[in-house]
Amino acid sequence: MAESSWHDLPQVVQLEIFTFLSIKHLGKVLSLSKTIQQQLDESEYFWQKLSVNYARVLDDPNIMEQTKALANDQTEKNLHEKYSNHFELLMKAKDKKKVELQTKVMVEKRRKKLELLRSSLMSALLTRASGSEKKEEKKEENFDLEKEIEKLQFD
Amino acid sequence: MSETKQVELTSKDKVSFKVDRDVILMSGLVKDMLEEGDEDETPIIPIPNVDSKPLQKVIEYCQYHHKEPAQEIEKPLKGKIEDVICDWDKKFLEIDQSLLIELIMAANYLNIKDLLDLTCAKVASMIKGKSPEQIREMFGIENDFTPEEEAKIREENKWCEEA
Repeated sequence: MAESSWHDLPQVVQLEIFTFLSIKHLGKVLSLSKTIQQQLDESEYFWQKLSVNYARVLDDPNIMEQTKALANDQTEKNLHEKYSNHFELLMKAKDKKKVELQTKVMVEKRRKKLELLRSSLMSALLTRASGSEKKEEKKEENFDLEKEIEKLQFD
Repeated sequence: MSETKQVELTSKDKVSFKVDRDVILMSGLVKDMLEEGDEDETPIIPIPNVDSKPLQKVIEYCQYHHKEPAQEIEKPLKGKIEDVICDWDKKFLEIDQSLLIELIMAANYLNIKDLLDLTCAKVASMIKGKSPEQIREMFGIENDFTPEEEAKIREENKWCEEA
């Protein structure tokens, strides 16, 4: 029995595989073969799916709207060009969001540090005043923002 | 006590597998066929596009995941596939490339979305970190570009690599 290979996969499945990759790999994939390049250049499904994946990660309703609207835009015939411009916009939005989140994390960390310092001072003052020690409850840190940044770190 | 209803699947190479009906209902194709057919004791369903080896893997996957639903694999894939799937799936994917391709085709034909996603993501993960030459070699893809054409495409899409 002959071994199964890439060429045995239906085109729709080959496209599905490429939709798991980030834009970073697009140039590499397009340069694999003429057939693959042509297949991708002609598939609105592929470009739309790739854009939706990014819009979803960015979690921005405006970007999602723009992405969906692009599918109905028939003015630009060349899909590659039509979506390349959109991807540049997505990349900028991704970088912007990353910077915003990193700033938030920094501010939040500084705020927590100050809070901790303030509570230690208070506790020391109270101990001195009452002569007794007070146990402090340790609060769990909130890692939500770090998780958001992690979401944007695909390669 | 009521017995679990079973279904008999016959592969392309005429090997039969008896599977619990509940398990194989993960396949959209089998589900549709069972809904259309009569209420036989053990219906026999031919799977003419899938050989016994990948079919056995499909059944193995369904037997595990019909009770433990698979987690959605986020796109774009972050890191390697092994970083985002459960231990059972990692072990399940320890197969050779030819069987992996057959499994993708089986999942596509039998319409099992989670298995199709898992196997497609595995291939995508294999593409990551490799050069076009390595990818072509790995999957037997013929490079029909002239060196000039290839260079032009790489140049046009250079911005992607910085993304």
